[in-house]
Amino acid sequence: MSTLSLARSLFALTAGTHFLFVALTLGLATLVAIMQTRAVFGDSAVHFRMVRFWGQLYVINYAVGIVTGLLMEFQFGLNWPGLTDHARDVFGAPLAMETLVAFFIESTFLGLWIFGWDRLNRYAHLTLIWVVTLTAYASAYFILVANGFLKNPVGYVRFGGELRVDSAGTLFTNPAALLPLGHITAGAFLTAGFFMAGVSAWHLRRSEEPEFYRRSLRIGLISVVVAIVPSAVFGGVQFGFIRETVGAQPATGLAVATMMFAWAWMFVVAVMALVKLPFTAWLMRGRIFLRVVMMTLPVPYVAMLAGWIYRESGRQPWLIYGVLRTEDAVRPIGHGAMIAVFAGVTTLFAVLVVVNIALLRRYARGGPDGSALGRPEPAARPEPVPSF
Amino acid sequence: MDTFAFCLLGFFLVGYFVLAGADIGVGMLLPFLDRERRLTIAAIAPFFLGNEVWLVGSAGLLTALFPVLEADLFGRVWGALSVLVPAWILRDMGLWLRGRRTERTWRTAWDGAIVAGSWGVAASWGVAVGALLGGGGPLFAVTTCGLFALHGAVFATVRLGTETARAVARWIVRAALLVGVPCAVGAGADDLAATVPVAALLAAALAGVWMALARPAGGQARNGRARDGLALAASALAITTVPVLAGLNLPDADLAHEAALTLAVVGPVTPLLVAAQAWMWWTFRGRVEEPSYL
Repeated sequence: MSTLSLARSLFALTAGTHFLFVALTLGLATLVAIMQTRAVFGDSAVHFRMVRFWGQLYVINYAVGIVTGLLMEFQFGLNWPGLTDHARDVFGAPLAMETLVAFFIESTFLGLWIFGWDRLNRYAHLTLIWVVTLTAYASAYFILVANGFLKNPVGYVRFGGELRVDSAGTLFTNPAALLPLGHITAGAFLTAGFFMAGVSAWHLRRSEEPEFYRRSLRIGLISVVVAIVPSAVFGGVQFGFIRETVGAQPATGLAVATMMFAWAWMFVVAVMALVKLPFTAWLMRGRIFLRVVMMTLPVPYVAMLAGWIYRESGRQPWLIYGVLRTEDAVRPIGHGAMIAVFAGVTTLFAVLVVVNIALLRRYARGGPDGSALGRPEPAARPEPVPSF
Repeated sequence: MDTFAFCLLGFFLVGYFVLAGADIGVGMLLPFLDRERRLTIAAIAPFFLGNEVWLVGSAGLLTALFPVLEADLFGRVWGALSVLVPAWILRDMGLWLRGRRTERTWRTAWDGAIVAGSWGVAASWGVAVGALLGGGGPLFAVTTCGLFALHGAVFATVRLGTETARAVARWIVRAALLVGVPCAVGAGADDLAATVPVAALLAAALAGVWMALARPAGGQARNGRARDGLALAASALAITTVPVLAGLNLPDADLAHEAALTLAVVGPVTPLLVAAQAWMWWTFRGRVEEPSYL
């Protein structure tokens, strides 16, 4: 592999992994915020337990999302100096706004939400999760402004060898940023909805805590039903921005086919859910339906990843479409150094992903009483003392 | 506008060293602060997420405000930064994951990740800033390791209130005075006119930490907590010399053409960010009494 392919693969690996975690983070944060709102205003014990259980899974997932995101941010400077050399002004502004206007607040408030569970007034605590949710969407928006510029460069003017912002309004309302924001939001609701529904179905098939998981299953399925059509609409209108490029990758066709198949699958499940949702007893009795819901848990991930590969590989060989070639943007460092970084990061990410899937599975199966969020460490089991 | 942009970047970078320096230092000293590990971790748990974003914000500002400088810096310190980021990730994963299972091997493994990652972060900052000073990378890494560890030890003294933490801090402050300061001077030997005043400030700050931590033999000092707070302020001042030395050795940089756009958005938001952080620090200002979520 050439140094360029290594650098590209490294970014694809980082961004792809990051994206999988972001999808669940965005959707689940919103659903947790809604649950906490119902818990606070309805003074509902079951909803407080739901916030703790689903919030725990959200926090586990967030941790990997954040570290993969860190590597992504620093990779722009480390491996792709051409990007800042040519598009320094255009690309830097949305990134800086993302870090400070969105991410900074999100992290500070998430820390307060996790660790301030019993220290803060319940309304303040509720406000925190809503701010965390909204700033997560703001993050997605700013990142998509930067990413949308690569795909559909607008609002800039060439000035010598570099690009400058001509119209900030055009740059920040780029349809190649706004449409995917709608698409990804819908995708995030599908991911989180099927996650909640799938985990609940697993427990319901074992007849555990029927009230807790029935409510969770309904929230998950409603989120799926609401999001399934917008995901296709926001995806479909983006085809207007697809440009046939000379170097279209063979992966592109496969990716789009995979995405559409996954969507069709989710659509069928969503229709089944829509029919069954009004009839609670029927919903809970449907063993086959619950099994189908469980099996659908990974499908939105497949769709998200395939859609992302389709979007990003369709742009090649351009990094900024029609402006900057990918090969001209990579840092000319030694092949050995790039191999070392690539191997190190791949190993680290493989460990992180495996550990986190195992943890999510463990905590998802453990049920609401196994959640450690918002409660002190259970007293250590006393050492056995020999009695005579 | 140049000055404002530079000050804003400096503010976030100094904020990172002063705030995150403490939690990274505690991570480095995890095996030596003998109170139960989960309590030691609880000393930094509520803060570390809110601390590291100061660096993320600094990187964002650097890209947006001084892109030419950013390209130059990332080229010169590529090696150090490609160690810094994985070390940072390793440390964060250790912090997030160690409390999630109770098996001893699980906890030991992630404790190892926290300690190794924290040392990796401290050392790679030294190498990075040392490279800016003119090639004294490994030498300056000794200084930064000392300053991060000291700041962590003093922070642990304040949050945990243990004699062990105080004793560790007193050992490190001596080591930092005897070894760290000469290493800083050695690393910046190319431009002594800039280095020596900073090194003198560093030595004064370290002496301040030493005096504030001193206790009459066998007795409790009056105003113990206030003096510990003073020690923390002095160790914060000491670690500030790292970004200051980096800043003094930066080449002149042109402001981005679109800096006004970024500043118009980020500038007004900054007081809000500071307020959010102040709320976090106020909420968790007390002594650590029980383990937290991590």
